[in-house]
Amino acid sequence: MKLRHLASALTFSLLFIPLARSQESTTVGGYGELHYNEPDGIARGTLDFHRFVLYVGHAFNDKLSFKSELEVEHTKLEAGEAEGGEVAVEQAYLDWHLTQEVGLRAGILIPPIGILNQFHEPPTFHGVERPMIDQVIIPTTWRESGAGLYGVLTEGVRYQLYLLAGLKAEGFSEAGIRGGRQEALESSPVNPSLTGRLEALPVLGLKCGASFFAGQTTEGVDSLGGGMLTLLSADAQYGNGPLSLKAVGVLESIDDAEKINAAFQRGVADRIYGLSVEGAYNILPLLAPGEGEQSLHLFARYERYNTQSKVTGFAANAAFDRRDVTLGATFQPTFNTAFKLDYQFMNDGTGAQAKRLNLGIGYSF
Amino acid sequence: MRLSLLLLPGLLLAGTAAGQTERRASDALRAMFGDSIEVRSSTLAVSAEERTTIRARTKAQWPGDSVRVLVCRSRGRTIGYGFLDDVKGKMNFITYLVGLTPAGTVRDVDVLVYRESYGGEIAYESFRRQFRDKSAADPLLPGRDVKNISGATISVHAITGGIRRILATYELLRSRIE
Repeated sequence: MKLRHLASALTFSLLFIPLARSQESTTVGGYGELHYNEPDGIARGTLDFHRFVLYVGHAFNDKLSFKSELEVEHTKLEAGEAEGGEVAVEQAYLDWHLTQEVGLRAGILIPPIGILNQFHEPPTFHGVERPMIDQVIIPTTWRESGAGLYGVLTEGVRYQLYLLAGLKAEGFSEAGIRGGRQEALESSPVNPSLTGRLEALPVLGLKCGASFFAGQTTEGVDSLGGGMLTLLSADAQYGNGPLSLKAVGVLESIDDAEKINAAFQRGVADRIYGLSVEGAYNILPLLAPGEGEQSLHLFARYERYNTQSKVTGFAANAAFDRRDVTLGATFQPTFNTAFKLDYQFMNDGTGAQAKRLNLGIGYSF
Repeated sequence: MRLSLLLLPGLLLAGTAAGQTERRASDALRAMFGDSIEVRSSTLAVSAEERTTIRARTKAQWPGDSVRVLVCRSRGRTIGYGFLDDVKGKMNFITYLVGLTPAGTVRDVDVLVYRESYGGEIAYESFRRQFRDKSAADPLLPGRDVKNISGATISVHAITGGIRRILATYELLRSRIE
């Protein structure tokens, strides 16, 4: 009797299991990048395995899944050593995909600003180092604890809207807002911030996005005012055959910068901006037609960014008014591996110039 | 008796979740081949040797040793096939369906379950349209004859590789499918 029941239950269930993935499944992935940087005038540069990242994803069922990203920067940490890297959980969240239109997301999330903060696998961007505006103006990898909604408004238009722990004004400086991140480390929820993004695909090959991040930064300390930070950003990516183009623009305003400076003396600006445009062309089809998925892109990127664009009560530091040009090549034997070479010309408002040669490899899987 | 009673709800639950995917697949096939079709599902075993051949032809990942085929019949005649498959995206699996004509060309592609946070644009009609009428003779390479979507690169490569593999599988094993 027992066996018969068991057998019929098994037969029934086997008949109705068309797919392994209809039950729980776990995947492992990751990315990494090795860099060689040689500033002009220095005989020997440095080799650094800058990032080693592991992803673990798990689907509990068709609607509910977990995603995570664990990163080791600069290969190691050693007790008692000031020098060294960092180990960080950069993403860890649950997605509850209720309908196509609305999903709930909660955990350590990435503010959906610009392009690179959300997509930072090395094979997805040109240049060994991440673009400067994605380091200085959008403090990539920017992540914070919180929750929100995501979904598709109509075919071609997607949204994300999250409430996250905010930035802290005490970390701001003349170099921008990067130091204000709490990075989901016992984050204070006193200044919750709202962030969101609308993304449209008007035609296949063109993607346009608009993002914002807004919240106070002074944790309710009256003498500092609210320190309201408002970030607005727009970006576009276009790809057609061998040609690809990218542009990102970011504008940030910080209220009460004068009060923040009176308290911390850091030269925080009222306004910060950044702009980046990049063009790339795959020349491999010209050199070796029929080479499958391999590509060899030549690219040029221009960046203009200033963390001292408008200041009150002190003179702006022109060293933070920067213009960078990066010229280089990316060879990809597969879409998820990259060998990179570039040369950077970096200028600032004081007339100082720096140049740097970069070599790198990157992968993701 | 107790053991089977304990097992039964779990197995039924698994069956139900999987059954939903199959029902969604049947609906998608009706949209491709007409409301009057009768859909019968079967599993096609693929030997290690056959997998090696298919992998060499397509350079596409192969996660299992069988493929799920939904045979679409109308008035006693086979008028199409649905291949139900999973490919690994960035952090989760993507479940999709490829509708093939008996001649081995793509009628349409449908994304049945998308679990990833980014790259859902592969379900858009403008993207899926690119695969219609393609066959195993087409290269099906993103950046060449398949347009990529910025921010969906992993999903685009995953599903395109999966479709390439399904077309090659049908080409190689069509005599065994019925």
